[in-house]
Amino acid sequence: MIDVQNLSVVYPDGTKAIDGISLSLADGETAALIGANGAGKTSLILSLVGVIPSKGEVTVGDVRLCRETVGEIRRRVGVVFQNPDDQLFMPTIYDDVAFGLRNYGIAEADIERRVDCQLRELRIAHLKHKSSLKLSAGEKRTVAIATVLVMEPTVMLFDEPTAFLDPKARRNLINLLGRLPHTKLIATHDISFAAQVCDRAILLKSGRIFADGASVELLFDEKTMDDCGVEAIA
Amino acid sequence: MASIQSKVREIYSLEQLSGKHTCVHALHPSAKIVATFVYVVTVASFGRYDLERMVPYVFYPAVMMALAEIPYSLLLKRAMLAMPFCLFAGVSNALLDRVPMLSLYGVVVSRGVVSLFALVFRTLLCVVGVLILVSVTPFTELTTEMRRMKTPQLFVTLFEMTYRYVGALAEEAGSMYTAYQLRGNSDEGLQMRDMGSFVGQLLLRSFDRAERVYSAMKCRGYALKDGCRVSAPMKARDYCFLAVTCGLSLLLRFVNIPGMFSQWIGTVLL
Repeated sequence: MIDVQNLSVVYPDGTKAIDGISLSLADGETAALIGANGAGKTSLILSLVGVIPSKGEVTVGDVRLCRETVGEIRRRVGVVFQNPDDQLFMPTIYDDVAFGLRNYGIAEADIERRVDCQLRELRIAHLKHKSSLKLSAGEKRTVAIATVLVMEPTVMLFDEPTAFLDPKARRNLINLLGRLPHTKLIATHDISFAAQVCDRAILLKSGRIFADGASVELLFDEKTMDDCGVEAIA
Repeated sequence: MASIQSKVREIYSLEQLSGKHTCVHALHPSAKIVATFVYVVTVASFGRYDLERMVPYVFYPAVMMALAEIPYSLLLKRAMLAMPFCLFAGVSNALLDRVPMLSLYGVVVSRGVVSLFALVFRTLLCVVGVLILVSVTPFTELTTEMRRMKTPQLFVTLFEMTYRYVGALAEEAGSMYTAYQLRGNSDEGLQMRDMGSFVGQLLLRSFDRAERVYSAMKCRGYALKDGCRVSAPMKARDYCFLAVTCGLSLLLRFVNIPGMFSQWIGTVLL
């Protein structure tokens, strides 16, 4: 479903954020992207949708990322940001969820139907006319996910989805992610969350893939995790 | 600083009024943009002493606010935010231009004072006109129509970014100030000695935040293709609205109706 070949990201100051990464995710697969701060998780996610310029190949389905196809790639690949406040910038939740659809020229009647349907599915229809400034962290996270799901993507990328969440909201998020049939790549520091949600774990270190394998093996392997700079599940 | 945040949120609350369902809200965004543009340009084009000729222009905001069910006090309070800037400019006129212009019940009024009132009145009318437009048109429709009307891309993007980032700036300022207060040893607010680093950090943080917001917007298809958003064509009622508002604005600009009215009153009374 998503295939990455020899991807590299170098920032203007010369920092190599991603250094020749190759990976692929199968249809419906859920993988955790794990690494210490500065390992390149966010850079990888943003480069997959062409927000950060990169070298190498990214292919989603049958579409290869390039200047001409960036719109199609961003329609197919949804990104949920670490801080929902960065993602919610419209006056009402309705407008926030409708933002992407409007950018793609969907007719207003269709937008209304799809937004209403999405809000109902995520059980946040009561927030429709509220401002994001008045929501709890858990509600903001759910709305941020709705803004992406409404675009009907095939792949979803999450950057630290459990950040700012209390235990109950975290549990709700785990349930929600479990229900989503999409191909998912989840960058997280929350190892127990990764173990519950993801079948596969990809460990990143200094912009390179350090290890790649089944979550049940990797996330409990103290030595590998320690070498990667993260803590294994006790 | 928290009050700055709440003020900015109040500005955004105007936009929430745009979700109402009144006859003004139902008008086509292009019609509202053109009507507001003509209104603002004609008001701004009056001479610096033409105070009385601008008076009839009060009817446009009054009627629009009534029809759109916008609370007068809410809009006037927002408009007041712009007043200090024109007051500073106007006061200097009043001080420098002391040539007598008219006498009211024995009190001589200088040209500078008339120009001060004209400037304040003109600013108030223009700001209220624009605020009404924002209150009755969803922001996305506004920018979509601006693009469709071939407004320079740079201008529309700047408009969108400024509007969105004012909130980001205020939120960053609010959280930085709370952190500052919690570690400060007085309640006297921001100390002068910390002002430089505070403002510098605020700009850097806001810039970072703005980058992240822009990335989030791009991830959802923003700035991909201009004009890919669709909009409905204008209807007969939109053309009627345009004809009435623009016609009246231009009529009042080129025909001195207040002057004719006062002449007629003078003739009748004398």
